[in-house]
Amino acid sequence: MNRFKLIPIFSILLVFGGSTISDAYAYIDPGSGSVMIQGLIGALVGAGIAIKLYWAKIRMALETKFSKS
Amino acid sequence: MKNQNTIPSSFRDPSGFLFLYNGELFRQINNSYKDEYDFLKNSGLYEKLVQNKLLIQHKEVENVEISNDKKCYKIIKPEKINFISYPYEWSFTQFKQAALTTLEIQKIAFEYGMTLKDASAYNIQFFEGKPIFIDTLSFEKYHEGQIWKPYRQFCQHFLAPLALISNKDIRLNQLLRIYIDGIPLDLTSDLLGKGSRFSFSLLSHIHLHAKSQKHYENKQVKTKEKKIGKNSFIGLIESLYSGVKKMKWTPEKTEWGEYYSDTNYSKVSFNRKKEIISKVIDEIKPNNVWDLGANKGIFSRIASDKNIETISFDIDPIAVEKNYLEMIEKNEKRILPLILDLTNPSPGLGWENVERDSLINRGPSDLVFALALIHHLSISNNLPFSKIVSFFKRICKNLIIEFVPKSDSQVQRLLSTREDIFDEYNLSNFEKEFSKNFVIKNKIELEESERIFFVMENKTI
Repeated sequence: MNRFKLIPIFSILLVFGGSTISDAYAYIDPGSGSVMIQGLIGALVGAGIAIKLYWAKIRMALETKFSKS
Repeated sequence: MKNQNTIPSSFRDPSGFLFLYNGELFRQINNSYKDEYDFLKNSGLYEKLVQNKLLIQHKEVENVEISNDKKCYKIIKPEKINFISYPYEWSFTQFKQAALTTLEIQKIAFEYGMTLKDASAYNIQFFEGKPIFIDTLSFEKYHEGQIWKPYRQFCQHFLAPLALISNKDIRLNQLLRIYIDGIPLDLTSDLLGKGSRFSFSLLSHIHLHAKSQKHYENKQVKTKEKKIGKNSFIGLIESLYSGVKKMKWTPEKTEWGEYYSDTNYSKVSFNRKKEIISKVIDEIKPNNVWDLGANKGIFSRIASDKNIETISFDIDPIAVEKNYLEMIEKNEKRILPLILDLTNPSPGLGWENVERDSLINRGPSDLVFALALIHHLSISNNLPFSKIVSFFKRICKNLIIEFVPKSDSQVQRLLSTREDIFDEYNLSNFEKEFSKNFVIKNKIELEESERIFFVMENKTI
């Protein structure tokens, strides 16, 4: 994978990333690249978890509705 | 402060440090960590983690005379861990459990409004048969939006070695001896190869992570201002957890796995050997035992079953893995299997070569077992008896060593592929060399075998 292929990935990352937070007292360097990628991965997995949760809720709602009818 | 020695592995974190005072281990908590420490205690997180045996228990020390440091907020005395082990000495399952323990702690801490500020593999030790987190100062309050600061460290310390063991070769865990802050992700990515990109966990946390590191290497990025949402934060940890959980390593064959069935021991002499060892332990009454070349730990368990803390070392990672799995199955608390190449034992590593202790510095042990070992050292590794003695005198107070004569089939097997240049390998030279530094207390011949057991006491310690 060359760096040009990564541009869309890092663009998404910036969208998911965003605003600011004050400096916390980290004594280890989290590393620029590590900070930038974790937002993306977290967002992807976080979205997956959210979809799963909502899907379960929707399914339950549908099942309740159909079982009643 | 009298008789106080700072432990050289705890100088990086400004929140506090470990020190020895009159031979006992204490941890100073600095004023800068006061709020976080109080939150850890008052939120109930400390109690929860200690209850679940995930965090080492400690007592707050009232006697502040120990420290006259103005930065000092509190002194705590953590429960003692007698033998410190390092990730390059762990088998696969030990490593995997250490990683999962770290993430479990992170998950629980999050429920209590805290998070880990570091995720070093060196913060995990094995205590009473289970991995436990030893750094009480690794917690900080979670502020919504903050990144998971130890992400890079977790991937380098845990995920990278586990991925390499699981996908390539267990011997790659030895890279941790070279890279004290974990295996670099670009190297891990290269070693894993393209095939591993089909795993989401490895693709994201290793390959893309490494690419991202490279991409931002020379760029000015305001990482301090970076923010990730709460769900992303949880998602990241969950993703790491499931990635680690899925990792597998199936040992196929072991160098010594069939050793017990492949020796010239009869059942009678094998049982007799066990009896001899048991009797020696009862006589010496050691507080701890190191079994060198322990294989799957049959003889180590004679000591650990007597409630003696026993480190069961072997060079073969498969034997160590089997030993550890047996330990889990039997819920044993006194045995710790570890990987060790005696011909190149763990050295002093890190800053000034003292951040991680060498094997010798972690001794001496009260009693060392060197059973069916001498011929491997002498013949496979060309070590003269004098060199073997000079090592043993540094690692033990007492020694039970089995002399295996040249006529033994195991020695003959070692000699079958090489020229016999070992004229000095005989009983009389063995006794002569060991007698220079050890008192031979007992000499026991084994029925139906040509092997002889020597019980010795170190004259030099």
